[in-house]
Amino acid sequence: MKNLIITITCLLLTGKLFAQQNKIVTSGKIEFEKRINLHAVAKNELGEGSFTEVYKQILADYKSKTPQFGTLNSTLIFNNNKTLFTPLTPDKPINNFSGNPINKQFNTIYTDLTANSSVAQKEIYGDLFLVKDSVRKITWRLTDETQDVAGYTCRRANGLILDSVYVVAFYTDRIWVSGGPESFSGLPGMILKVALPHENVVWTATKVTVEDIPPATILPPKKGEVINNKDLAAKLKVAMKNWGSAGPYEMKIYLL
Amino acid sequence: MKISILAIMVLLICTITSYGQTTYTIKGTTIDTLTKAKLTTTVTILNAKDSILQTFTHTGADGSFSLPISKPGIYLLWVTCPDYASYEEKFTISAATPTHNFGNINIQDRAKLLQEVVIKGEATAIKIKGDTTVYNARAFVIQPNDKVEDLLKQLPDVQVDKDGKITAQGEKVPKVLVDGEEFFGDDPLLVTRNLRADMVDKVEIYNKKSDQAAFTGIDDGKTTKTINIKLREDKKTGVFGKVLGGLGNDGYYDGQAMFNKFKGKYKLSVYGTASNIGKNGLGFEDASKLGTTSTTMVDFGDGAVGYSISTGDDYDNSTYSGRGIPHAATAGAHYDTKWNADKESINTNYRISSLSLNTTQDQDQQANYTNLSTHRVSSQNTYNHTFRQKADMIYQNNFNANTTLKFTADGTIKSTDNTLDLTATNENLNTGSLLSKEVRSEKTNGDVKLFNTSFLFNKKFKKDRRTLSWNVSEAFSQTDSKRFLNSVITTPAKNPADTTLNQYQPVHSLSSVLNSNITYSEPLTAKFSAIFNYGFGITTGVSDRESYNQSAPGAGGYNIFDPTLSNNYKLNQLTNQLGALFNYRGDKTTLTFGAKASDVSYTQTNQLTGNVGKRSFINISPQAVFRYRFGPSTNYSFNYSGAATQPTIDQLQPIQINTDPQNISVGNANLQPSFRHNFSTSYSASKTISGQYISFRGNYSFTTNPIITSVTVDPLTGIQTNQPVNLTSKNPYNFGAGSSFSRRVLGATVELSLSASGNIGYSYNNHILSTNKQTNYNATLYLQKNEVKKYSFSVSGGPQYSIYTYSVQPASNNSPLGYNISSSGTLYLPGKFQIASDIRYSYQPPVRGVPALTSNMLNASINKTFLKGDNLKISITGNNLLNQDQVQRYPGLTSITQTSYNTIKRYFMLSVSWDFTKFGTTAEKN
Repeated sequence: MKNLIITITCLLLTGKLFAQQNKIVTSGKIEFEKRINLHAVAKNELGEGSFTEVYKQILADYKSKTPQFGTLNSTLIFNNNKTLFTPLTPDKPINNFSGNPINKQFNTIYTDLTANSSVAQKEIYGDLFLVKDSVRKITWRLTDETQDVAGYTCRRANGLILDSVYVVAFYTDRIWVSGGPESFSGLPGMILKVALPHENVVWTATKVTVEDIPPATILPPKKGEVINNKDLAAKLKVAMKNWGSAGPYEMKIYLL
Repeated sequence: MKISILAIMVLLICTITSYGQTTYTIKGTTIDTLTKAKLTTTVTILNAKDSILQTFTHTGADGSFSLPISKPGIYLLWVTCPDYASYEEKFTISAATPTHNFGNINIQDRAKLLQEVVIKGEATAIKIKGDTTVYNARAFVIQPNDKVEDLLKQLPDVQVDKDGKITAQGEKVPKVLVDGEEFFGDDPLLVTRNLRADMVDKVEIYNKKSDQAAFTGIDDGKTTKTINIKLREDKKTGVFGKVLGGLGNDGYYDGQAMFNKFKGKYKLSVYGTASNIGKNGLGFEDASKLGTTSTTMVDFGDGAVGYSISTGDDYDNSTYSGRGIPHAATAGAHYDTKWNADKESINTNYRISSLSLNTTQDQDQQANYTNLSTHRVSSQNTYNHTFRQKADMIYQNNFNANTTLKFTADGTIKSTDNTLDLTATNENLNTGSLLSKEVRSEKTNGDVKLFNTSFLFNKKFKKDRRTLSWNVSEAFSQTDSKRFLNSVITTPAKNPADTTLNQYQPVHSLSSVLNSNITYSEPLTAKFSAIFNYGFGITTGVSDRESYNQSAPGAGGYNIFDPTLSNNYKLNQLTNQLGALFNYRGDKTTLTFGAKASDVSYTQTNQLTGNVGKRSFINISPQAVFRYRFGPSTNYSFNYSGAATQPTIDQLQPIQINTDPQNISVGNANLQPSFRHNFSTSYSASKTISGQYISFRGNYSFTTNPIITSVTVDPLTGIQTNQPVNLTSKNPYNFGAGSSFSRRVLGATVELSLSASGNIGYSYNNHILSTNKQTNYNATLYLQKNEVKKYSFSVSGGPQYSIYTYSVQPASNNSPLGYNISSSGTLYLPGKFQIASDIRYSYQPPVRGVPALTSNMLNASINKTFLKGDNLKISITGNNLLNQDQVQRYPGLTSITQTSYNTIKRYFMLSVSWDFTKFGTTAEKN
């Protein structure tokens, strides 16, 4: 009787995933959608400036001409401990206020979780950088909260990156790859949804295709000026020092 | 077997952790409780205290795991397996117990069935809009640091359990939105910027399948109970403003006051300025602060948008040209308000200004004709005064993100008062003999009324790139002026030598322009779209210029009508325009091409003679733009446009105006339209972070069947007669090419710009075709370095070399080499002192006997700020320290002119400005 209850509970918990029961995924392709609250990020970019009268006018006009949310698509292919995140060119560009980098996709990221190394190609205002560094170390706190993403039950974890950016991630332990979109990784399974609540942006997996990705197709990007994260941060700081409040804001976004 | 298991474990350890050497280890084997089968699971180790993830691994095919632990502590083992319930167990690792063996771990059901305790709340005064329930957050008691959960708990029909799970109206709420965005809640251990309840305006609860679904855009399907928390906008209540007063030597002054109050949805501003140092109105910075500016969205392509900010009025804030002594006093008021969830707004402005300008101007002009070279020297004093009032209003309705309506109206009343006193002599340059001498005085009073109104409707359809835009505008203007003209022109070669005019000249003109334009764009394929437009315009106008003579000199009244110097025209014009543009937008390539055709017909009736001039023509203007994107900041573009230029009415049958009897305009009824082709191309590549920029640009245009000027000069009197004629044998052209290179060197921006431009034009000089060539070469080096709040410095300068050649007057050929340099700098000193200075210097060499021209301007200031936020500022300004006049040179086709003006001279001014602010955040009342 007790066993029966456990079985039923298992069935209830897994629901529609029953068909895939206990099938562990180690290779495949995930389609991600990056969804941005355009109205809120326009204000973030202006910083304190958003309180002056002329910028209030501008924000009001921008909001009236722009839908509140914009979306961008990307793919993540993975096989065991190698992943490659590639943005897709949008069909229709987002009405991007002040060229805010959060409204763009500027990262192509190759991650080798075994070697603890990543190669991120970043396009920043015409400069192409190839950031070679170790995989970003994120302190994650696991929670009991779960959410269903693209048919996978995901558990929520909260984290902090770049000292101040709050991250909420949802990962599934059905995919045995500790990766995720952009540079988010380090959870006991694949991250299928990740939000930066204070930056008003969410990446959500819209489709997971389980397939055997030939390891030869998961290759690091090659072009760009080779640099590491620390040196890039120093370089951005010099270039953006006279940008007012937009400087620190854009720097943070470009280092994500 | 053992070896291979060990190998797998080593591999797993390497895979998952990068912790290096460790002596603490845990191990175990996970098995299915039911079947006792070995299970492959995920084993996760957390800090027992704060749930921070330490490490994790996956069990092997035999269900076993072995995991190194980096340091002693109390941990939580957490085993999960998809489709199984998770298992957790607390354990301790210490120096005494460096390893922990869990043995067989039976994964058991620990799922807690959520007990949904549904407590029906008492219905209180809540708003129900359709199927949306709206709670007003202000109706509930909120402590300053309450979380949103604390607010939700207070709402009737809403329960929040201890795990933060929310139930509303008896249904589970899977997602909470904040301003339409999914709300995750902050982790107090990681961030403390939690959403506070006192930031909340309203809480809406609705089933997602309502109209709101489009707004929220969650794709869960079915109806889901959704809570949307609407935040209060940063609507501060407060006042701010600025008072500025400055006094200088020699009667120079500068004063300004502005005040702004906003509360909730409305804003009121008033301001006033008075100055004689070339300031007219608030200026850009203060106008933006006050919000009396107007802003326009600018599309930079590829989705990037920005805003251009203008001071909102072309007359106020007009920049001082450096000529004459101005006195300006302006005042204005601004009011705006929003309603209907900010969808509708009204923005109104009223401005009043009085502006006067006293100008003294001395002019030296040399002109060369085939039969005569002249030297004209003139000096004139003018006084211009304008008193103006303008009111404008903008009503905007953003029905939704896809449908907007904008209605604008403005009206202006202006009265002008101008006087002119001029003396001039024109001599034969070679013989020095007098050709003519002129003494003239004019006094003109005018009244102008302007009224403009426009209506703009924009609609975006559901289908991407399908849009409709309709713009209708009407511009009405009426001018009434009265002029008294007194002039004596002495021409020794004429008999009698003196021509005396003493006339009263009233002018009455009316004009009304009505335009309508509808633009429709339609996507043809995923990358190809078409844009069609239809425009329609009606222009009607009356221009009545009359001249009256005195019955006898000095008789007083002007009662003899002078028909030779009077005219009265009526104009009716009808325009129909059709246009089609096609646009291809690929990943890297953008191509736009198309043409517009306008059918214009007009009737000009001379009301004095009854003569009717009719003309109708079709203008076709083709255009094409090609753009290629090599990379995000590397672009190439090529543009072509062609446009016909129709002869103007003045060119066909000029209206005789006798302000300048030495220059006579003659019409040409046989003029044909000319057609101009423009080509331009550009390439630019920028690397902002590395501080590199490079650009090249080029343009070329030529005109077929151009309308050129035929100048004939009477060698005895110097009287010049100008007539427009078509030139069929030659096509005048102009070209330009330039490049810029910029680099960051030692933290400074260094930019080198090189450019060349030139043109070949034609004119008839006493019926001989003259080819006039002009070529300019320019190089500029620019250097700029700044450090926020420390210093900023820039310097730029370079040579300019020009070559002018005239085929029929080689004597006029010249090739001056001039240069200019300018620099400005600001230094921030300790004690909130700041010093700034700027200098401009330019040199133009002597040409054709006109002396060399140097001009230099030096200004400096020192200021100190006080109070918190640097709100009080005291400054001493020194203007035009070298006490220079303004001198300008204009090279023309047949002439070279050098003019000097009086200007604001050296002065020192002490000024004090105070910015005041008082803000409060109070709950707005609806």
